[in-house]
Amino acid sequence: MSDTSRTWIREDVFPSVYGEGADLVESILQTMKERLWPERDIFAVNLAIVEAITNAIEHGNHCNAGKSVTVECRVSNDLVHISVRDEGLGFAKDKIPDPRNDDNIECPTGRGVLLIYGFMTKVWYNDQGNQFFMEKVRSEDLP
Amino acid sequence: MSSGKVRIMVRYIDDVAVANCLDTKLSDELGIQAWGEELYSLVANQKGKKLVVNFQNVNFMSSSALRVLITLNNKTKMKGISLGLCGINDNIMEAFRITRLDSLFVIKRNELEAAKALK
Repeated sequence: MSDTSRTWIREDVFPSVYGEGADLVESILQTMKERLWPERDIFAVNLAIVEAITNAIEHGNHCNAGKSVTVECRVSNDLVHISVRDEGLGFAKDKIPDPRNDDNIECPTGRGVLLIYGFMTKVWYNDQGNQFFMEKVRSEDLP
Repeated sequence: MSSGKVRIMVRYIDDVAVANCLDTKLSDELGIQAWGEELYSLVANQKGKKLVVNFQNVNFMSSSALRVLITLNNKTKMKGISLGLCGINDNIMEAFRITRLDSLFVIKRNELEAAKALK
């Protein structure tokens, strides 16, 4: 059990291989549980970080195991901050087709970024487009 | 790639095939691929015209799992099979809403309601 009065901080660097980073994700979720975050917020952070890591491995580093993904995270009692960086050239969100459009709705791919924006409180990325920053503010507890 | 682990259990309610997802988390890429292959194989060998996928055991699903479901939907359409989903929890349902996939799929609370809704 960690000291919940302090912000929990961790940085991991791992190769672009599916399954890498799972231990880090579990640590973040466990820390949120210890700090009694609402279950829906834990789900949101879980989904967002899985999507961001998958995007970094697949689209940023093109599954090249020689390239790394760097994840930094801070978990406090009311805010989770995560950044995910890859070694790719970066992307422009505006160039991703909107999968919600009728023309794209049956296209299987392209929903990861949309889910990150939908579930997190604040999302932004660096100028190059190869580092995602996202934050989740603790929801009001349900009665 | 298959690890040999069974990821769906199929049974029949009258003429409706019901595929129960056995994993609680659909998040790791290789596991999702294996789960998808089982569903695609079910569709390829399906004689009936109705299929329900039940997610009552599933408490987490990434966009890779949504990708599999959209591909499954496309495959069922090509074979003239009606597809329904059920047992989706509130958090996962929110992912369907955000992506507007709740408008693409027939989604019901349980498998009986889903089976009834299929034509």
